[in-house]
Amino acid sequence: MKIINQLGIIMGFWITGDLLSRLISSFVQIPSAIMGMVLFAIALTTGVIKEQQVKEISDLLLNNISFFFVPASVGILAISGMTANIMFKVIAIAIVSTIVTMFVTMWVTHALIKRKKKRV
Amino acid sequence: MLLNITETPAFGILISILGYALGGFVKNKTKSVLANPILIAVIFIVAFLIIFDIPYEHYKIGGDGIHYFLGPLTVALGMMLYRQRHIIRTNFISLLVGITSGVLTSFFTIIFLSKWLGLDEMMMRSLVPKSITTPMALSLVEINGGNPVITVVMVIITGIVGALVAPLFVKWFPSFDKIAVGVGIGTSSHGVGTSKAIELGETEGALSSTAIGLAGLLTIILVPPLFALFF
Repeated sequence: MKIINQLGIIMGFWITGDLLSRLISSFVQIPSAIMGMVLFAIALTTGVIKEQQVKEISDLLLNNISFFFVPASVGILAISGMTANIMFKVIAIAIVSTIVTMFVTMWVTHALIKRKKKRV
Repeated sequence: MLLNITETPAFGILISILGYALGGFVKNKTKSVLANPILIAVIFIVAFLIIFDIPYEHYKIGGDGIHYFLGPLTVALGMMLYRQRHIIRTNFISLLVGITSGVLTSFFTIIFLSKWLGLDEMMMRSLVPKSITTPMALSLVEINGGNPVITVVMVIITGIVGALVAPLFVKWFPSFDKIAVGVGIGTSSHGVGTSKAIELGETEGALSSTAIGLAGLLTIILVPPLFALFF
């Protein structure tokens, strides 16, 4: 019963997020679940809901995060139009872009933290 | 009679659980980043469907039941941000600027390389969310367009690449601050990279998990207007 109530709270944030993202959709497009996530984080930080009230369901979902996107990944069966040539290019882009992104992020963050430490 | 059994919701759900359990088992046995549980689950399920000639639509009946939980799962990521609020507060500017630089680097490297290799806009839209966690990447595809299947596959490949190169970066640049290493791993390669960051150290792990949520949010906020500018 407890976990079902907790799931109810999560669903409540999801639907509120959906409503809010529809309201602002002409200015900025925010996916409804992401909006729900932001509202959920704000509600926890401001104490509107307590961590204990949603702890079990959050842990259940977060500890098994990868299980929930197995079906989305199996959708790979549905694509057949991808040639080996495009496949190769796409994988090459993924590799290069990931390495460059990791380096730039580390380098910029490192420079900022060094500056902050020097000032203190 | 017996053939209709694959058309029940139980089939898709059960085979997903079996595939995922197999993935977890292989990962624990080999302890290799290449043994990604989702990748193994997908190979198992796809092979099963092909061997027994079961249409994808049958799998989808049960699979959709699991898929719908991506919504509440994404909302629950807010708990992750809440638990890391102290780290976020004390390093706010460094995190914000550092992660934004990563998000922009990811965007521009993908666009530049895609144009250079002659990929179309649809492919670019599918590739751009690749560095953020799967539920958020799928949310971005939902509003910005692209093929969600390609996105999911790219997210997995990105995670594996990140987990493989992260220890090399630590070796090549030993002077890098632990916070910076964590932020770099989480921003570029989400949860799969973070599993490696946790092995590198507590600070690296905590910052990497913090970066997943923030990088996802910043990507979702920044990418659609950037696309509108360029296309």
